[in-house]
Amino acid sequence: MMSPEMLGKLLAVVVALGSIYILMSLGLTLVFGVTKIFNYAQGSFFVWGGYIAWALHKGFFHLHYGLAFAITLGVAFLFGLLYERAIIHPLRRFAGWDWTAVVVTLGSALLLDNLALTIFGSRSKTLPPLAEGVFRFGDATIAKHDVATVLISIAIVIMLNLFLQKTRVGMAMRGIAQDTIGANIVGIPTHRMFGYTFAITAVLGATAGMLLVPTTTLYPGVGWVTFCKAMVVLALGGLGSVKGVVIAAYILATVEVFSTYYLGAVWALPVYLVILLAILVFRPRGLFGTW
Amino acid sequence: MVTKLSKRSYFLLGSLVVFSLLPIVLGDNRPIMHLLVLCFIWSVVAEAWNLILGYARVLSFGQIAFFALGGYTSAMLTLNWGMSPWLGILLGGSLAAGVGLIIGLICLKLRGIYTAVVSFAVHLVLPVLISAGAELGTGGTYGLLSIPPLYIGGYTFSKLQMVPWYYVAFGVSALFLFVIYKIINSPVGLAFVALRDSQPFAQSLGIDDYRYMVMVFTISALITGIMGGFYVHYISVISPSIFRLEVFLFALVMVMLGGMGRFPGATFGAFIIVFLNNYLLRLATLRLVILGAIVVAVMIILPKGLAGIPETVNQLLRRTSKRRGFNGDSQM
Repeated sequence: MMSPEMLGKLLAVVVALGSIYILMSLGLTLVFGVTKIFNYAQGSFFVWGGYIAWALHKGFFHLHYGLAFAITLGVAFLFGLLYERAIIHPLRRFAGWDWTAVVVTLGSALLLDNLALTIFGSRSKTLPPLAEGVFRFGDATIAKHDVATVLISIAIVIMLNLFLQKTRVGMAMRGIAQDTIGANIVGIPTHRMFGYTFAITAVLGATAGMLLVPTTTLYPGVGWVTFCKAMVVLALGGLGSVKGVVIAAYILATVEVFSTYYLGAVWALPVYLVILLAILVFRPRGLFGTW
Repeated sequence: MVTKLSKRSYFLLGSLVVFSLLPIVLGDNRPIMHLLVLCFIWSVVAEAWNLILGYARVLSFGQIAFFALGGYTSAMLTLNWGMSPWLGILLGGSLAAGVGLIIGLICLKLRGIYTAVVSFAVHLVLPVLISAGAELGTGGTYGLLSIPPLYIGGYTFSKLQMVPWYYVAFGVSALFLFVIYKIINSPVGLAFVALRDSQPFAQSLGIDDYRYMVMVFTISALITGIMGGFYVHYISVISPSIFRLEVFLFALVMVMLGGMGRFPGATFGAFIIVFLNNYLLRLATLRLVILGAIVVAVMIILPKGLAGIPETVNQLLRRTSKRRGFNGDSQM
């Protein structure tokens, strides 16, 4: 049996990891809900968030990390707008664009990942934690960075919910999610809302990247690992449900941490796949799926 | 419709003749022969994917996984058990078909994007399992080397003599392209066209789309698995790098570039992409940046692929009267 300290340590990791998966999956589910596009480039947003922060803080500019973090979020927002404008927008001239959009997001993932490889090389990079040191509770310790990760994730979930419920832009997005044509008829500027949606997603992806990298490493293509897990989170929680995402992210983080502890890190992904298939056999729309 | 089909058959017959005479013109030009063999292999893979994407309208991302399954099975059987490559290829194809059947049974009950999620999850998990399964003879991270080549009677194929390889690849791919062509023009193919044009009406006529989809999904997995086996015996190595995103996108772009749901389209796509990739090889990592850019650009400029150029131009000209431009296009 495992000792209480070990259990406490693992649970702390579960909570921190689950919070990052929430950020990744929220980005995917937001874009899917509003635009009906499954954004395969989300993992690249994640990687680029890490690389931009690295370039600002360590690689080229040596800025204070807090400043680098903030600038990265701004860059991510602008990049999301640009991404929609340059790549998704032109597709929408043609019928059947929901299929071409899938291919285009895959293509841009290839482009972005290899651009990172060309610019930054294949050697892995690291980012500093948001806060050094640990909190002590008797024998158990929790890294301050993990606490910060959890707090930031909770804050983002609350803010995103408020944004979608209370603001005009948020309400417009929900309108498009419910009925794109209807939203168009009542005068909601769909194209602009698509842009905002991708911008928010890019910010969520970049945040997840900057929060996860200090506990692992950063290399081009690492985004796919997290992306794969986010897909399982969505399938379990149900596409289009924030509540589902939050619960599913913590369930899967628990599974991952404990299967890694008992079976080894290699088995995390296969265990994920088995869970995914089992869910889809018994409950195809996930726990809280809305469609 | 009848004249269009026969025109197409003339075209197919013509290309059959051209490709069977090509070695006489080229002589034993190994680099070109090698590229053409790759073109043959990938055109079958691309057309099998096209069958799923363009005709059955299922967003399946498991094709490269089937390809690799067929390849790995055949490589492991011939290397570890000394089995004949031909038998290995058949068994590899059967295993791919079996896995395809299981995934199909689960996936095809799901809605559009979930199929993509599940099949892509399979694609992402397989390399992890294969890398971990070194004890089972998968070769682990490094993969399997010196996989035996094919033989017919006493003759063993070798890279030093490309003409025999060329003909066997040509024969195999022509056979499977013909099978795919037959499926498209069979009652099953017609059922898919009906489902694509009006799903409720087709279903009310008694077309069971689930059964047909599972069937075509399995056939596509079988053909792709067999081509995977053929590929590894030609290339003689296989490693988890077959699951890299670029390989996946190569095949997908072949389908998209040629035109989804337009039969010989993906074959054109395969020829263009294989040769293009060969010319971009010297650019190292920049090659994949360019390939990604090409994928994006093609989808933006030619969403219906090369085969759809006339339609795309038409649609652009008619953008003012949207109702006609959007006629007959199926939404997911």
